[in-house]
Amino acid sequence: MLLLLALLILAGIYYIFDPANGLAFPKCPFMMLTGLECPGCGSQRAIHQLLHLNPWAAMKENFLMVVSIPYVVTGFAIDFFGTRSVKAQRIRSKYYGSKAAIAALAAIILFWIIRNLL
Amino acid sequence: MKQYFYLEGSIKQGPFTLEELKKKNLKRSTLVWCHPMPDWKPAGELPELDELFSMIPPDVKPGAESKGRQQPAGPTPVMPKTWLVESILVMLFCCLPFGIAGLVFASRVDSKFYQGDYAGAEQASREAGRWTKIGFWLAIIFYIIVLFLTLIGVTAGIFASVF
Repeated sequence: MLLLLALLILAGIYYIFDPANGLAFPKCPFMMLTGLECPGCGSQRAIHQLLHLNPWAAMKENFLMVVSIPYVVTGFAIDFFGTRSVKAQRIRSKYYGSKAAIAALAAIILFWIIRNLL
Repeated sequence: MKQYFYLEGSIKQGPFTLEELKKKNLKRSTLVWCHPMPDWKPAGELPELDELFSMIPPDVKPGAESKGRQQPAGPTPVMPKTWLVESILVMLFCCLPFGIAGLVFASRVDSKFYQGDYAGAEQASREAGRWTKIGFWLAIIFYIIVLFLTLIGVTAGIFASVF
């Protein structure tokens, strides 16, 4: 319940203020140190755009974060509601297992390299 | 008339007569005592309570059919939490190195579990959880510090423009 409230407040903040021109939002330490973008850079701006229903603008800010939202939400849903469902557990072992972890790692590192090259 | 006592957790209940005791919804495993007995005994072992349990099959002893396994929960051990999704979130919102560590351990939880190494899977799950939590709290602290600094900056700015 408290978590939900915190999420709502956060969503409100990210809706009203645009991290792209606000000072109040945390900057990425990796970006400050190296001048390169990390895989998470742009996530806050992307959330702002998503809350304003601009999925395309959000994808420009951080493509990986936007496309991973359905996957992450499904994973949480399985963990919270699907512990007794055989079907949910089958999906879990297939798409949220060790291969998925390695694939996610590879995807994030690939994204990291590519976004700094382009 | 024999006086019976039984244990509800560690709290002694009683005395009861045998007739009263039989209405107490005892389980086979409930510990019962009456005068000549040297020690508490499970109700299922008392002959005078036998009829109580004639319709109830004995409790399944945890681990009885899965000897040697780490998980006492039942015949199939439960997969420990992999922290996969949480690690991804940590990586995308804050602390890349911790997210990477979390993901590496997340993949080990699963592979060890399917190799039958349940203890190893538990261990990897704890490690993954630890890295993910470190990342999560670092993110929170980092965000709070930035927010705090900005508030100071804003108030300073307001004061500077007023005076």
